[in-house]
Amino acid sequence: MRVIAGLLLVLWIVLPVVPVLLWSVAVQWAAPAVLPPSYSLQSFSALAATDTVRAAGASSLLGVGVATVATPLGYLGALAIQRLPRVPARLVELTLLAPLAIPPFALVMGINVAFLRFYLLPSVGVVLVLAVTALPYTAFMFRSALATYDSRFEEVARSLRNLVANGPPCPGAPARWCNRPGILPRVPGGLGRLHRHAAYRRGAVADASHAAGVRCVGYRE
Amino acid sequence: MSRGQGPTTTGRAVLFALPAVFPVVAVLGVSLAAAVLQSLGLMPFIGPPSFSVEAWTGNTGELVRATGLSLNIAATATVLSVCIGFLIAAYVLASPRMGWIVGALSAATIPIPHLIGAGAIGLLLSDSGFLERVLGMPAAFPALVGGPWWIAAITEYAWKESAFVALVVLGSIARSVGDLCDAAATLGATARQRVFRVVLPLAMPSLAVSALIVFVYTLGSYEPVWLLGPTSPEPLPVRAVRLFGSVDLTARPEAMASALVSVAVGAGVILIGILVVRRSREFR
Amino acid sequence: MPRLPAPVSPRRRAALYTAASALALLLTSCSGATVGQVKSFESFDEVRAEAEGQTVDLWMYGGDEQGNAYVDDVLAPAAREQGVILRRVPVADTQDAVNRVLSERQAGRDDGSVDLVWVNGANFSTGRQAEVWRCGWTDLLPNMEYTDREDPLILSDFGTPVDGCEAPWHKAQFTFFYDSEAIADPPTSLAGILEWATANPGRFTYPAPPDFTGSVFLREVLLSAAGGADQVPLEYSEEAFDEHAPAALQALSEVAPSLWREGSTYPRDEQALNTLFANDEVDIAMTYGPATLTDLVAAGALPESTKVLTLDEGTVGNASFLAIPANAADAAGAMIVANIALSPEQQAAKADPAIWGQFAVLDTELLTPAQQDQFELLPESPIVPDYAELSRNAHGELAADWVPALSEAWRQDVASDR
Repeated sequence: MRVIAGLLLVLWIVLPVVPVLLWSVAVQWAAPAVLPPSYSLQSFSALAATDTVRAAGASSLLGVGVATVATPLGYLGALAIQRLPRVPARLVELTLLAPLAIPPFALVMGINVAFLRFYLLPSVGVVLVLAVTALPYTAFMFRSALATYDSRFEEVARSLRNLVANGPPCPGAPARWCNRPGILPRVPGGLGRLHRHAAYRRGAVADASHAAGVRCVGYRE
Repeated sequence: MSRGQGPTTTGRAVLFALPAVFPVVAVLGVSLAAAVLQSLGLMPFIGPPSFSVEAWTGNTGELVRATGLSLNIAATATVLSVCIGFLIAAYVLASPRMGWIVGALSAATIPIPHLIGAGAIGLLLSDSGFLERVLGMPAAFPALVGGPWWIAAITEYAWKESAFVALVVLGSIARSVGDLCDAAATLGATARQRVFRVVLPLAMPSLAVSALIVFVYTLGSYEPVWLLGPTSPEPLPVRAVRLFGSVDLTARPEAMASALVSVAVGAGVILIGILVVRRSREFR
Repeated sequence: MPRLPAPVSPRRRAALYTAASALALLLTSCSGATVGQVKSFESFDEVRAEAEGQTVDLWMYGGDEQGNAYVDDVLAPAAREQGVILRRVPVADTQDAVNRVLSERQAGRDDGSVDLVWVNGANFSTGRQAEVWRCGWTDLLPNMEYTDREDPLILSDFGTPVDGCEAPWHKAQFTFFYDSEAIADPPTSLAGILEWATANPGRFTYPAPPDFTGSVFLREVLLSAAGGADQVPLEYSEEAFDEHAPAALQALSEVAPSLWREGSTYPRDEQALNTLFANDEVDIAMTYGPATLTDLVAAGALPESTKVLTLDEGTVGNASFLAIPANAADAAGAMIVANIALSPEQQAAKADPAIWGQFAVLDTELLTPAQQDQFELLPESPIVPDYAELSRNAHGELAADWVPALSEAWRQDVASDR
């Protein structure tokens, strides 16, 4: 039963790729032939053409460019959402989500004339538009990573509160609880920032741990 | 209790926000402003600008039909993606060895662009495509590509986006779900019970968020519906792009109106989605 | 949780400023911006001097591999010899290039990125309406002397006077082709094709207009339904449209249930139709570029039983051109390229079915005997008859305004009908 379910899922995932793979090595393949009558690697050797290589290079550059812009900006946006007061944080959150609502074709149709008028280099324009459409994803990846980190702090805070209520305060028994590296979230990149961030957060935790009945520090949601 | 700890931290947070918010506001603002102006005849190719709402009111019926069609396609594709995506995720969690294979294959389809995906589905499902040939060219093979039910286009979205849903779900619950499943198993829960009583509730938030993203994405996506759908009726993106490229100099305002409708619908869906997600969190 | 009052943060203020200033900027010059005065040239020597070292971007439909190879491997090296670098910019549709020019014009840019466009018909006429083409420059080209100044195909482009706004490049003839294994006795007229379609349900279809090929077919049906090419005025008018279009649309609505997929959908473009043809789903297909057939059959993309189907009443023919946008940054270089493209050597090379197979726009009688030989020696295509036979009884194109009007009517009446 379980094996059948697994095979069905594999079929679902792999089936659409099969005709593409077959076509890539087929010389010609007209209906009703189920499989190509003859095979060749010619289309792969055509990949070595300068045009293809140049196109691949351009695509890679574009990808790297967009990632380089959108990743740090997304991280900063996520930090800002976490640190800002509630209402502005929501505004920033909504703004960073907004590109999701705008189909790329609509974005480009409108912006085209403006970019031309501002004499923006076409490549810069493309990177900018793609980075803006990627920002919701990077910002919210970091946000959920930071939220995981928050909820771990919640556990720490709870433990600290128990300590405060029942025994020695944090400075007395903290070696384990306040150990920073142990509670660092797995955020790709930007560890230095996170360390500083963690220190900042710890202050807040300590403050809050003295306030009875506080569920969690600055923890939204 | 404080999210902003005094003016300095708030100030610094604002500084953090600026580099992310500014490009978004600038690109979106300029793009939408230019689209609105063009849709109202204020940026014509030739002649003086003259205000007109003709692009909005001239063919309302078609605009409404296109919107309805786009919503239908997006809704169907989202439901399928979420269901299949959850199944993939649950399977990966439930079966250690085979699950690993399914998970890896599914994740491997993520970098495939939708355009290529649409081409692949076309080769698979078209009238003399791979599937029909494998089945021996039955005369009753249904019209999947270009047929009235948009089956090939919806399949393409479900194929690509179910992998995305599975990835998001796995990423968000993989760490927490293991212990709980073990505990449930120790308490005598069957596999089915574990999937629907433990994994599903845990996955709900990430399913909701990914459903929202999938819905909005498919609503505004152009290539699969253009490549795999019938000539008529047209969904919003196909209509907008066709009018945008038209040789008729007066078609540009209508293109912009179509694009703006699709922006408005997408924004509306996101707002409703956020409200629903928040509300359901407050209930818990 | 105390709610802090939302401060009017600098961030939002900045955003407001940006939006407002952008809006203002867009508004202040939003009428079809006037591009600065076009610099004109007195002589071709002046053009040559200015062209030296320029890089010319030729925007052209990129879906024809032979055409791409001709430009990259034959035309570009010839241009380089004369000091001009030719860069091919492939587009999915010529409309994209025209759109780019229009957008640049809308933005008031006079350093345009499009230097040369392979264009004709509705795209040319749209550009003329919007005044985006540089005009009156083709008389400067020395190689224009090899063309027949009275040739109607070169004088007007889909009813729009050329007026030196584009240089002729090649001629084309709308051509049907069929699978000779499936059809022993092919129809010989357009009405015959529609009858054949009705008698053989599911074996015929045509690309959905506004696709280029599909809309040519639509116009051919219009002429056929009207009783011949001379029955319909070339000039577009609403009266003429109302008089002639209904019969054509009715003929297409009537044949629709007998088409591939009962006419519930149509192939997207010529490539999609060719795929149907190659997979034996339809038996008749069509193209405005018969030059491509030789290569498609040789490459196995079309079956070997593919044969050209000529019609008794003839089909529509046209010429296609190279146009230079008024805001082109490298106009002089573009003129050099247009001139080279018109040379007997290039025209003969381009007419070779092994290279591209496009019909020459030159009048062979104006050539030297040596130049004529270059054309005489061209190998014959095993599939495509020569231009003289293909263009027998040919008629000219209707005015470009017919094109969008017919496409829209087709979409409303025929496509959404089923």
